Amino acid sequence: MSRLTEAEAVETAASRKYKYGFTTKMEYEEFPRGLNEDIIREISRRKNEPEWMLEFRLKSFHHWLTMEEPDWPNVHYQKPNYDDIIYYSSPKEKPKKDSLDEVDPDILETYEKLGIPLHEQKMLQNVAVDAVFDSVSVATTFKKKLAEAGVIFCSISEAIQDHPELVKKYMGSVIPTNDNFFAALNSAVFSDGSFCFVPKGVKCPMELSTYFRINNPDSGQFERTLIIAEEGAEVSYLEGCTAPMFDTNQLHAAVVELVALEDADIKYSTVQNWYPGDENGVGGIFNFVTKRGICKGDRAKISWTQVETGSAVTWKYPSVILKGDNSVGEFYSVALTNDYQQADTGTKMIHLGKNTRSTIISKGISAGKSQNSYRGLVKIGKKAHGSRNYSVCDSMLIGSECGAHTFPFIESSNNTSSIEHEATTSKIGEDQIFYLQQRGLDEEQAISLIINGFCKEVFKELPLEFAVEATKLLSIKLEGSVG
Amino acid sequence: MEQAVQFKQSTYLKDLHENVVKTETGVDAVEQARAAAVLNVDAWSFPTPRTEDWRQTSLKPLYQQDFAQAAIDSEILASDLEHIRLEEASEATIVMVNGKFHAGLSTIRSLPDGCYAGSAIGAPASVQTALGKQFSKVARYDKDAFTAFNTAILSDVAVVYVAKEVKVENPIHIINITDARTENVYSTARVFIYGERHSDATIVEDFIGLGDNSYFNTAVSETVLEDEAHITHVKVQRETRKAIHISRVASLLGRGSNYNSYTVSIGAQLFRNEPLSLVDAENAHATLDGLVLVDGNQISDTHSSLDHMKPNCTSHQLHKVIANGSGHSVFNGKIFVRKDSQLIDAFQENRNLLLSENANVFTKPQLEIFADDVKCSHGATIGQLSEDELFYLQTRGISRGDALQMLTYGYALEVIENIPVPSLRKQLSFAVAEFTGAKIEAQDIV
Repeated sequence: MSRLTEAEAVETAASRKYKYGFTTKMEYEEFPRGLNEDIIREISRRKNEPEWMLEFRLKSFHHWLTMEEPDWPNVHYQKPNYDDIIYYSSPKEKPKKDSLDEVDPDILETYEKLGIPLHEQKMLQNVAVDAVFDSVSVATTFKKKLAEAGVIFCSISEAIQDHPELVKKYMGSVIPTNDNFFAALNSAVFSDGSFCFVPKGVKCPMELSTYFRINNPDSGQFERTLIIAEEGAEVSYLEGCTAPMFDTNQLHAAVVELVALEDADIKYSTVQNWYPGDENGVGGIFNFVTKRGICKGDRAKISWTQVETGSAVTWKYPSVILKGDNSVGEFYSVALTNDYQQADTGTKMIHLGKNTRSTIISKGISAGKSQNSYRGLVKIGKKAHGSRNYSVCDSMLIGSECGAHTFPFIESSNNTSSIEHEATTSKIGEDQIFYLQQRGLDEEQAISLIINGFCKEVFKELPLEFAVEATKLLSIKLEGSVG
Repeated sequence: MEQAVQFKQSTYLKDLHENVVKTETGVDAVEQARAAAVLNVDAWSFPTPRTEDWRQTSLKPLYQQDFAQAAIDSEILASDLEHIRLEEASEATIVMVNGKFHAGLSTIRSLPDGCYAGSAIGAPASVQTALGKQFSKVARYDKDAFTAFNTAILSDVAVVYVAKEVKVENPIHIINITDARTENVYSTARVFIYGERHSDATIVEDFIGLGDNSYFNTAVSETVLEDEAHITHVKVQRETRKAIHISRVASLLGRGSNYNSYTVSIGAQLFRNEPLSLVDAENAHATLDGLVLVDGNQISDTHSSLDHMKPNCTSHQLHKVIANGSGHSVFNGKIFVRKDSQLIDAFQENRNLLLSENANVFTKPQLEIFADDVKCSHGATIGQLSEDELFYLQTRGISRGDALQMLTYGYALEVIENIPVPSLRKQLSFAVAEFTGAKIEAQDIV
């Protein structure tokens, strides 16, 4: 699948512009712009939330007011005006849906354009989808089959209603409300997101997936995902994102928390393709996301895989706290930037337990006038005896006006642990392109093939359908960047 | 309370500076630099752990103590220096006592024509011209209070000037000695090295201290390499365990020049070194190697910058650390490749040996690349000695303790063995052996 067929090449050339840039005309139920306590109370009231949830939001809001937007990442952008954002936006809809037939046909059509197999009968693969449209979760498929296995997979709003004890116990336990500026903002105003609970000993029978889409030009999207895997449970979760084209910058500040108890295994994959702005750097999404998982029990494992191709500015560090002994953390990432995109992304691996292991594989590709940074932290605590980390971050530069940067922070206070880190930066090989051209591939096909080889280590971690999508996405993104 | 501490820190250097009795050098370039440094004395901010570059290193040992200005006329005997003298440099040794040139202890004989080693005061016209061109212009540490402080209070400058197309065969030894026998003192060391076109020289800059009191030493050295010049610069920091040594080692590389810098850090309670290499011409090569040994409660912090401003250059950096006891080592190695600086080959390696339970190592290799046709890589490791190697030695009848010492010694030697001064290699090998506890005989040293 890694090589493009001729038909695909024609197709990708035709769709050189952002492919997912259509908007769906819908009636919105909007809030006034700006943020204050009343807005938060209103969000909470409208979602019919219990008192403790409102308190959680208000506490976060007060923290947020005291915090400053971070300026340490290696990105430059016009800071959003937080008084000009609509903090809650949902398609105007009847309250609750039992089956997909009740979902607004316009929304379903949008998802079809996006190529999401929302209709169960159309589904070829075994994927349960929770789709988040602007701020509200519109549909969750395969609910029944999951329920039989004991897995709870629903929107977070539903979880607050139906499983308050679980949400109360775990929400904010990995990422405290005052963790950082954007996490605090999210905790105050989060509108919806996914919730997943896999009970003890259950292996989730299918891959779970959430699809995010921002449809409204002025709304921010603040979704919140919480995944809990109990003792011995296993789950694989996919996340995809798109947005239509607007010439304003939209804010996306999500929070994702993962909790893995003893022997649990969580695999979280993301293909992020938010609108990156046009070729002059106008518009695009600000993607400021806080993702963190904790291996709470012994032998737990958390694995992050991400393919970041979209967004005007990305600021994202999926992290793992390795608290349980013998726990494992993994991070596989491909970050591609083109035109005026800026990405500052990486991971944090915090080793606290004994014999904990972590692997970091990061591939950065910069083209056009973009800036791509890897920023990571590997920290081995005093009691993390016998721990190991292995990190590789490779950068590839295409064109002479882009930049690639690495900022790895490596800290160790334990003399029985070891850390290895290596990084390289190089240009796409002219010899390789020449060789492939000799074999009859045109330049763009050649580049696509080389890039796919460069990213292979990461792509092989993705579930199959995502790997195919990611491969295509990269070749579309790099159209015309060499020549 | 918090604010009071902040306040004390932020004006620490300014306060010290106010009480300085300055000694004018009479050298135009130096006095002009001094005037410029004092201009923004109010902006000399003292770094706090909140400053990104000082996050891992606290300056508490400095601002919690009081220091008096070191006397210029301190009495130093030749025997105080005997143990560090280099036999190769017997004819070219500059001794700076508390930052001031000491004619009686220095021996400068038989330098080739046109070359100069000694104080900036009374130096020949060619040296004055070189000072006028570059003095204090290479140490481009933006807003750095320590460099400005050094420039503002210095009383002398040790200068090495190598004339065009001359190779100085023997190394030139600059000994900086601080006398802390009677009280806590502060002093400055300033070195200026200028290599003209096609020149070649090796300079060893040495730092030692006397006495049991604390002392605070700011050291700034600047090296200028004209086209095709070859300069090897060795910095040996073997201050007493009571020293706070904050240093800047700057270099500016001309076309086709070759700059080899080796820094060996053994002493000091708190050592902060900021090597800065500006590769501002094509076809130049820079080496920035370092060896850091810390134990007890020593803190050693290296923040290096290698700035590739022009295309077709190469650089190599090997930074090795051995942390024992409650030692604390920090390394931040920045490599910049500016826009249009194509065909750069830059390599950086940082290896840390963490030997004890209480030692800490922080490392942050950092690449910032704005050009596409480059080959840049870095590697960093934190770990222990290989169990296989220890086992191998044990199977050969060597005790585990001896094997540990032997391997640690071998690990440290990788940096030392490149230093082109045999007697210094020998001194440093013994120092490393003493640190690691390895037993070596004089004839074992290569």
